[in-house]
Amino acid sequence: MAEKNNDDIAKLSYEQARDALGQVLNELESGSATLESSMQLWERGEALAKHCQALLAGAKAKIDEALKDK
Amino acid sequence: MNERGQLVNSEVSPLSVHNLNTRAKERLRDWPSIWVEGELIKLKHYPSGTYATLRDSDGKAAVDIVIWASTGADRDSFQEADKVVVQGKFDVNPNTGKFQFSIQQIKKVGLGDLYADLEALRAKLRAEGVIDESKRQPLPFLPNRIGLITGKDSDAEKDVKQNVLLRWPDAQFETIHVLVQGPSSPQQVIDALANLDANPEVDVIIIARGGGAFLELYGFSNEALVRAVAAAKTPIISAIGHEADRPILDDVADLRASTPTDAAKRVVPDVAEERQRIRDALIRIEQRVMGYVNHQDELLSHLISRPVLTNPYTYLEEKDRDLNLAFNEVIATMENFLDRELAELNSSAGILRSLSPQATLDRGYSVVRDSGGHVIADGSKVKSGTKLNIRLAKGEIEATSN
Repeated sequence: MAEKNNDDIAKLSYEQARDALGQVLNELESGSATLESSMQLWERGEALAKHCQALLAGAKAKIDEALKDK
Repeated sequence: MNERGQLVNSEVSPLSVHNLNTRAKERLRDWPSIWVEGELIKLKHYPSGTYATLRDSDGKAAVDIVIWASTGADRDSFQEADKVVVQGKFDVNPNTGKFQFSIQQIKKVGLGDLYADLEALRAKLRAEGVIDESKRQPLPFLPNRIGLITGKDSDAEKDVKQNVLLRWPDAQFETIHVLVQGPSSPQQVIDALANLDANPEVDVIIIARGGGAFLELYGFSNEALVRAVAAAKTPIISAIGHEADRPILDDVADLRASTPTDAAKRVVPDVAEERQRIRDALIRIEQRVMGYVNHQDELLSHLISRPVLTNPYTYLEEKDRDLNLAFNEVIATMENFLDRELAELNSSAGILRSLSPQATLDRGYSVVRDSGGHVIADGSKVKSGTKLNIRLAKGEIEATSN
């Protein structure tokens, strides 16, 4: 299943996830993908974007926490 | 007498005593007149004549003399201890057998000669080392008991005692009264000195006499006296008032005072003066200490007023400020970074959506996939019981083929 294919994302660093997202976009933009792979790329892209957002939100929360302690 | 005028004398024809004396008298009368020098002592004036003893100045030899009134000499002008030169002949009293020198002329020895004698003695004593300033002993700062040798009821005694007590009321005296002039004076002073020198309580001795003429003070140049003073173990102050000519005592004493009053000033400290000195010393000590303390206080105040001490947080505040700046910079950088990433991410997500089949799904299409995720495009190839996944515009459906 789609989720199964994307289990590795949780272990990626922000940079790795961001770069992976870039690659997904490039592949989708090239327009050469089949529906099936487009679906998979899209779902992977969504998962990567979600992971990146979560990492950024975590970083933001840590900064807010640090500012609150000041 | 025989024909040659010689005495016929034998056991059977002895002389009477009177004859003997008369013969001696006659023999001595034939001696020429002789000049003799000496010191007069034991003078006794009688109308008929003056009796005295003439003595060598060292006191070792003496002879009785008589100055008959008939000589016309100015007998009353002579006194004890006068140094004289006399011319005379021996005489024997036929009745007493007493042998005496009968004076025809008598003259006082000139003062010039006495001065010369005194200076000669002074030079001799110096050559011998009896007079030696380097042997002078220091006086005690505060004597235990002051030995005083002076004339009975004399001004010298009063001057010494009054002035000493004025300066140091607790001073103690051991006083011996002596004759301070005349022939027996030196021996009395010597005896008194021996007595006081032997007294362990006495740690300074003053020999005092008020002013006097040269001859009156002559005894204080007496050789035996001067030697005794030089040999004494106790420090000695000479306090003989005099004008030009100092007695030799002054040269051998450990301190020479000009008068008895001066001796008093030298022998004890002035209690008032000493107290003042102590007060002055205390004031100076106090000033020094206060000065030091004030100076240190100033230094300390100066140090304390330095920023690190007035506000001990200064150092920390500075570091804190630096840290804050660094922190803020980090935060700002981070926020920038996040904002940039977020913007990029959002843009990527937008692109992702635009490229996705979502728009197609939104129009009511669905995508059907098998359990391997493969899109099913041909329904004939789907067996009954196959698990299918249907992706809709929103959500998914898990289904099974009939």
